[in-house]
Amino acid sequence: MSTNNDRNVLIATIAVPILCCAGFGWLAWRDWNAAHAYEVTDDNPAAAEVTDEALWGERRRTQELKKQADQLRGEADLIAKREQDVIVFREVVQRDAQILPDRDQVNKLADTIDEFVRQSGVSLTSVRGLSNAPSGDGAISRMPFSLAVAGSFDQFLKFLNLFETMDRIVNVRGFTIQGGGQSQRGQGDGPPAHAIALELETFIYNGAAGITKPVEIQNYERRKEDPVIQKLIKQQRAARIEKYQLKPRINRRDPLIDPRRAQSVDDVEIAPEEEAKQRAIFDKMKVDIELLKADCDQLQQYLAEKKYMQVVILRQKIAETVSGMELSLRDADRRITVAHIREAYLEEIVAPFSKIKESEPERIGPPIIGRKEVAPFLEAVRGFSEARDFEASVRRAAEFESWAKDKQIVDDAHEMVTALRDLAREAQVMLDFERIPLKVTGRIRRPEGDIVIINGKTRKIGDWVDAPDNRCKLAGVRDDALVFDFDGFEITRAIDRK
Amino acid sequence: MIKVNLLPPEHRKVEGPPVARLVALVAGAALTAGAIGCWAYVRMRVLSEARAEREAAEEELAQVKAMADRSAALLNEFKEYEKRRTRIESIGQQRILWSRKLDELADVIYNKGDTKQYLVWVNTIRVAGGRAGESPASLTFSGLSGGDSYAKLSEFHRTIKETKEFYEDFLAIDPPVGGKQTFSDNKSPSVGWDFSFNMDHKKPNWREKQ
Repeated sequence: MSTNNDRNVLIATIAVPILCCAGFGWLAWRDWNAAHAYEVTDDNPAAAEVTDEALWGERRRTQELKKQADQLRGEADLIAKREQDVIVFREVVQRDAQILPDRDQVNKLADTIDEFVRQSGVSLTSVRGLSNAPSGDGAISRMPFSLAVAGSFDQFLKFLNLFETMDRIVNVRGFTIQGGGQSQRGQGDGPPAHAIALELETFIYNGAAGITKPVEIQNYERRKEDPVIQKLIKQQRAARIEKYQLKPRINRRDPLIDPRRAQSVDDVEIAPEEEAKQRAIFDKMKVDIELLKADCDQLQQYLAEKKYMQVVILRQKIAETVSGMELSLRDADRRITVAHIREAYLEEIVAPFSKIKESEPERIGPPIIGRKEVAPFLEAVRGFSEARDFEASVRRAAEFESWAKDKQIVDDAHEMVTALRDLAREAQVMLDFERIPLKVTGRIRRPEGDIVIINGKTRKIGDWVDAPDNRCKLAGVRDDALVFDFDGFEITRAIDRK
Repeated sequence: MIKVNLLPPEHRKVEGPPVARLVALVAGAALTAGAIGCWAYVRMRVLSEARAEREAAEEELAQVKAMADRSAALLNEFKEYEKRRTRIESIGQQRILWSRKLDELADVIYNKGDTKQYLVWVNTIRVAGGRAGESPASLTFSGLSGGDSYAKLSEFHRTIKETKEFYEDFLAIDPPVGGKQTFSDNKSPSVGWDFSFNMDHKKPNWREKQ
């Protein structure tokens, strides 16, 4: 029995470790597999063909994850560039969208139309299509609308131009003008009323549409001010609205009105010689008005270049020309009767002449002061100063300053003005000096320097005599006079003067 | 032979296990320990490292993916803004200033008051879509040229073409065809020629493309 037991124990002793080894070996193999299954290596490139993720080990999974990350990294590396692009284009679009009305302005379009009707003089008969509901899903939606108005050609032109000069775009899609009732010339029936149908369109900008959630960019405001980004923004040409400035056309007839005149027994045939004479009058006046315009332009140039002497001369010439032309115009107005010559005369001569004549003083130039204007003041101030009437001298100089305050002084008058001001200053100094009490009661001559008794106090050269103001000091002692230094002026005063 | 050992236990000779069993035991223990060690190494070191690497790779992928998504969102936003800008630009460029064209047309018709060259007035003026494919709009005006002479209508037509600032924005103008009419309204002139001209407008930004 013990032999059997021994054998059994031996068998168990051998079997158990074997089983344990097998078991742990299997576990080790399993874990190894979990780590390395289908790992793609140089020795095992075929593992790449296994695409079932469930069969992959950890290392294979890691390999696949790294591959995906590498593919996405290229996209991620573009973030900085794309942020810059987004910043630039956000600002560019915000800038450019200023030409499009926003919803608030579209809401006020009815008021705008009303205002334009008032300014132009047309009569509004119909408005269709104004709507808050935009057509289209994007950020920029179109809103067409149509109007029907009645009025003369010029009134409609003004009305149309008002839309085309708005800061926010309103485009004209089309229109139809039907010539209306004819206004007979000279019969004063009032302006014609053509029927006009007008198709317009505008656009509504909704910044929030089309972008679910804008990407948040850190330090956006600071980055926006970066010089590189600002340069990129400026490189994008700004959207602009072209506009047309309507110029007033004097005497231009309405093109939709029949310009023919009724036949009348009073119509006089103008002889060719008479027409030629009238044409000659017109041509001469045309030359005169062109010369006058050239003179006015020259005047502006002189003013810009500050050539005031020339300004004075030219102003005089222009005034004389205007005066002469007024007489000529009265005569021409009576003599020019041929229709087309008269119309040209009104447009090309009368209108510009009226404009020049009615010009604001600033167009001719500001008041200027020349030698002629300064001379009386200077003479007066000099005279008063020489007569030692310093108060009158100062007063006259002050009058000059007050008068010259809003005027331009011509270059060659500056010297006279400077002399006048110097005299005025001297006079003021003398007035102030004479107000200082200086009673001289004695003088002591000494080799080391004279002493003078002024106002009961001894003073030597260099001492102030008007303490505490200290504007006047004793500068010298002569036999019969004292020399004072007052505000930089040297004033000699006789000693025996009381 | 039966063996009896009368020695007290403390004096008896100790008998150890059999050598075979001992060797088997030691070897078995060594092998088992080795197997356990091997497994522990694979589990604790190899597999753990592999898992840690995998987790790190997942984290990195998540970060990169988030950045890639942000980059894609930026690109989408940029494209949207670019589209808007292009649209705004085209809206501005498609604009035709009809007040200017009407003003210029009125000047041509008025001709500075010179009625000797021609005396023209219009009945209708219309702006609508262009006839030619490249033309965004067309201007049509019809009216009358006063006077017996067809040459005056022709002169009017010629003046339109020679007025550069007005005509250069159009592709062409219809030829001066029309019929003679007599008026019975006691006005002078009592005859005239009717006409209807159509002019297709060029694309508004044609100057920039030159």
